[in-house]
Amino acid sequence: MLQYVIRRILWMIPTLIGISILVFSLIHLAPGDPTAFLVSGEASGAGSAQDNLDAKVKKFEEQFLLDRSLPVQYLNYIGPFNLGKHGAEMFGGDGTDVFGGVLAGDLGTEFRRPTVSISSELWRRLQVTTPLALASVLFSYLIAIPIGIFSAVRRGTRLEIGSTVTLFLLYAVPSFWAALMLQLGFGANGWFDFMKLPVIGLYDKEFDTFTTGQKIWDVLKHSVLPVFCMSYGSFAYLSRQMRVGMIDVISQDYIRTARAKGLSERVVVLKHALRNSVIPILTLLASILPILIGGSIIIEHVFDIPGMGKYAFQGLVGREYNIIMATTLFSALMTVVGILLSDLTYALVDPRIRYD
Amino acid sequence: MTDSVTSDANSVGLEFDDGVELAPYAKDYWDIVFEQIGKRLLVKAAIAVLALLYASAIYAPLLASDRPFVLSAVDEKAYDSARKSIVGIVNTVGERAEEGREVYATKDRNLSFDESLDSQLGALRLRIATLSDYLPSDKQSEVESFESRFDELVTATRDGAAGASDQARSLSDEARALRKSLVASADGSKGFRLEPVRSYPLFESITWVEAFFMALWAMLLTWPIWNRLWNRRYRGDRERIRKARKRKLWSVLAIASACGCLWAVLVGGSMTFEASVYKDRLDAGTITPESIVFPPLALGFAETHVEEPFRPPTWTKKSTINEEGAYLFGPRKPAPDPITGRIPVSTPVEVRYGEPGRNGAFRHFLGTDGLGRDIFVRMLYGGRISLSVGILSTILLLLIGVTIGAIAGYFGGWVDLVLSRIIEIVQSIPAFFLILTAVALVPSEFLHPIFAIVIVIALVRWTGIARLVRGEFLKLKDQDFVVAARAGGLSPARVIFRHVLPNALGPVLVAAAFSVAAGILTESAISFLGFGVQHPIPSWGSVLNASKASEHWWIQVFPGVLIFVTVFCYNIVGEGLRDALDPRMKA
Repeated sequence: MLQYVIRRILWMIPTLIGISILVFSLIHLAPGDPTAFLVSGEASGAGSAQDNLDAKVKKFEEQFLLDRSLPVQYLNYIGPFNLGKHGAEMFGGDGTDVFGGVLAGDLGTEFRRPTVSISSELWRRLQVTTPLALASVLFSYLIAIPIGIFSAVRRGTRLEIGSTVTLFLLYAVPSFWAALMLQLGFGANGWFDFMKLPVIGLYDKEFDTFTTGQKIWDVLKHSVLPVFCMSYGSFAYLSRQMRVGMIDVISQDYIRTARAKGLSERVVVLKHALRNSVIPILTLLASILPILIGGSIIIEHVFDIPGMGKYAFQGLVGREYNIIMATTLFSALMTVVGILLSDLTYALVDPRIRYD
Repeated sequence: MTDSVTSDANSVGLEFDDGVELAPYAKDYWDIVFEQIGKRLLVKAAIAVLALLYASAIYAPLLASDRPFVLSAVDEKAYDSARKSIVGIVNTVGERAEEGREVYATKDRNLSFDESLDSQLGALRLRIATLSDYLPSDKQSEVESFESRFDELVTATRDGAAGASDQARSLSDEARALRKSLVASADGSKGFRLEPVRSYPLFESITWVEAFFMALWAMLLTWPIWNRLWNRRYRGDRERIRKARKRKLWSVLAIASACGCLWAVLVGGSMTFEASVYKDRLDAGTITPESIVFPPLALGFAETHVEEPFRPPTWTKKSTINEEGAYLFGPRKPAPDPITGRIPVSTPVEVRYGEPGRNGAFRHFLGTDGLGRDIFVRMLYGGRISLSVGILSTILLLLIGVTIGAIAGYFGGWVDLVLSRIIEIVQSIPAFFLILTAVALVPSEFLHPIFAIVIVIALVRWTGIARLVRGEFLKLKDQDFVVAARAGGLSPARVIFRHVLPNALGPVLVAAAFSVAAGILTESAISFLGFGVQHPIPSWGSVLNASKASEHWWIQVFPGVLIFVTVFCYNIVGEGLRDALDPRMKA
């Protein structure tokens, strides 16, 4: 078991290196100048203004090593040694700041705000995105499991067909459209305007003046719609899986035995059947989480939530190389870990699966 | 277990149950599939909706365009400018004749002597062609003789003939006389009456690819009819009907390709993304139409109406506009300025040639965007991008996935090990992140955004298909019919593609239906975020992106409904195929 886990974790390394090289070369080989924003700040013209700009661009490129060759830039980004001006002496630096790069826990700084460290900014953003994602997962399961049980047990009834069709419809709704429609419905002059649910942002304008209780209530109110948007896709998927699993389990011999020995239907379903059918669904958790984090780009864009997805979007629009690298690598890590967890839980709950 | 159905299909002639003959023929795999699909009303409905959606995208130019199908008209402006510029051209050649080749060469000019003469010759021929387009037949000979005289003059000038400059002077006088004598107008109000020229602007903007798809779709939509007629020839002989299947498919493709080729040769249209000038010039009166046929909706997808930004759907009460261009109801109704009390001036709506009236329900059936472009027309054309991205990405990912999966499953051993590792690595790429990054960063000049999206989607998402195919191959490769094929000395490629793959195709088709839906969703999400296809080309996602403000509800509702309906139909078809392809359903 331990050996299997270690081997799988070792396998993650080439995967992550591959992804980082892929994204890094994609970013750097794509034409488009990250220094363009420097130009817009300057009054364009001849003479000293132009010289001034050139000096600025040169300084900028030196600072972010954009004037070096791609492999050097990549190695500098990955670390653990700083290859820049202040890097280790054996790489031509002055030795004031030997370590740097991802392996040293340094994700670089933003281009436009060189004082902002991306690791701290990403951490700040994750504190917004992660609770939302976890809440969505929780919400999906809380809805999917009862619906799955219901539709398996009451197979063929009108209510069951109705709920199955509704879930099937939900499954086809694009998430950005759902977000926009919810904003229309709950926003000003919408049909559900009377509920006074905020449709934009995560905090109220006067958030700072609130008491703790008010703050919690405010954040909850703000996150209802985003959480629904992030979760309806997964609960539609999960409840379909749950239904299939439950139908499978209910037709097993041991369920017939349980019924035959006179147990009530309630006990049969909730005790004997549920335990066995919920396990495969739980293993899906690990594969849903990274999808949620990827999908957060759209939801956070529509609802204007300052989370990781919005950060990634901002990085793409502004050609902030370090932001793009950091967000992509992070979601890649989440995906890899998620797949590993999913395999492990699957193996844990099903003893027939062996590690080899 | 698909193999047992197909591979045994030929050997099983009749089915017996208790000695009673049940079926007059053996149903093969595809018979069962078609029968199963035919039993499902929902699946049939979904297929019909999809066929119509694709039809609306393919035939979009025939439904809505700012170019007329047929235009028979006189362009007075072009005629007059051609008539007036003749004298200038003759005079220029006259100057050349005057100074001669040697003197010309001493001056610093960017054209050589011969080149300069050639350009003048070309210019005059163009003008004469314009003139003779509109001239009645009795005037044709005048310009023709003038043209031949001009040719002689140019030849004489080029050879440096002695009388060239005299010749030029007399021709110049003649040109002046011609300018006077050719004064004409479309209605004959001055001079004589001009003959209208017939042109086909809309057909000329249709490319051979579009013609191919139009022909293909016409045949697909009429399939139930001609299929029945064709099958009548076989008098219910299922065996022959089954054998004709492939022939039908090939002939449909052949006819469509022939139409495409014919179109390329006869019309050779080229696609244009700009709004056309026809309506403007018809309005300005520089073109006087004799007869003109527009598509049902005379609006282009790139055509702007800057005086109608964000106009609500014109069948709603709130979009009523008076003659001054002011809204009569709703929040857009001009309110008096709180201080001066003046009511702001609005811009009157410009109703161009062939367009529905100012407040007609079909003027902007689904409203307009910020530049006053019609949302309905943009959705119609946007379907071309969105739907084709779904199909193209699926084709590409099928190619990659099936090949890799087949190789891994068929050969096994270390090949399988390596390929499985690669599949695992690609699978752990955060797909949407990478697709978005690639599309956002790859410039549109380098790679068309549509192809960028298609390629990246395929490169990231082929793993599902590959795993599926690998599993099927692992299951099938030791079956008797594969062993027999191998023992017969067939090459691995032939065994893979002709013997194993057809039997593994069922699950692949199901996965393909779902991946088309996923492709459409991904493309629309990317366009919605503002990456992907560039203006003015629409796609459903970018139409939706035109405004996020809640007062512009029509921009957000309608394109989204279309995406939803498409994805929903594909999901239904996928589910239906899954059930229909499952041989356990054979009953």
